[in-house]
Amino acid sequence: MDARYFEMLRRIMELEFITLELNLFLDTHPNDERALCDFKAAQEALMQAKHEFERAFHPLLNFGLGHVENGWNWICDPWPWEINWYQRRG
Amino acid sequence: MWVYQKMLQYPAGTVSTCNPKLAKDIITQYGGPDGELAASLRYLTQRYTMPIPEAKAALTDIGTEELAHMEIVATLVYQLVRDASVEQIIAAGMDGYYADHDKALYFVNGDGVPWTAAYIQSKGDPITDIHENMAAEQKARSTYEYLIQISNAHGDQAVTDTLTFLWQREIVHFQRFGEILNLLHDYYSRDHYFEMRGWNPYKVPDVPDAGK
Repeated sequence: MDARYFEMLRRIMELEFITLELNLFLDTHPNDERALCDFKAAQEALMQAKHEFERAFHPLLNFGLGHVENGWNWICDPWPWEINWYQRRG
Repeated sequence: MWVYQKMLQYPAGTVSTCNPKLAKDIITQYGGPDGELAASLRYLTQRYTMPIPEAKAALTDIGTEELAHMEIVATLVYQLVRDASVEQIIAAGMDGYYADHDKALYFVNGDGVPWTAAYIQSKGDPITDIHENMAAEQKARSTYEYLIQISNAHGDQAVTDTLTFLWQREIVHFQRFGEILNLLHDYYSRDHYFEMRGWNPYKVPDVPDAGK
């Protein structure tokens, strides 16, 4: 896997951490307009980053929720536990 | 239903790919009493008897995040034993585990005690359940602090960074459960008798009269 694979995946992790954290916050503060606004902004960036990744590499979600291009490459290595982000090898 | 996302929640890694001694300690957060499997299953099974939408949502979402943490812990254990020889596994005292599981992931604590549902509770009383969850988050936070000390003693900065991320999440979840507890207290202090049929948290339970 080339460096771009890991760069794009890391960016997706960062953006999804923001949406996940705001999601939990909104669960207990559903009327917080500012948090909802931040959530929507991060979600838009996340969706775009995921779409770019999926078009270049493989779907990130199973069961038809990810974008499928370049054949059935859902099965391609590396799987998440096979990547050592410190040594960054697949 | 659930879907799988083909990435970790956090870019986990290990400096060493041959440290079975550290793996043997970290596995407790996979299948130990205060580990991620226990956390996830506890929250996901408590959802069904929650009376307010905020609690149903928080238990669903935090329970789901805990599954992602289980995968991160599994990744650390998998990476740490990846290149270990049988001799190194014996030297680390992990040979008992190896005899039963080779290098496969299994739900045990650091001493090999298998996971049990007795670690968790689902009481049907939302106030009780959220208190249990707040305690669970604190217990997991303490465990991560001990594991970080151990990882630092091994000098594995990548493992320490990953454990520190997981440690922070315990604190955030504790905060969210505290807010759920407040929302439940608000809910029970409101008048809504029609929703309370058959169950009243403030009702004195019927005690069988021994004299009759």
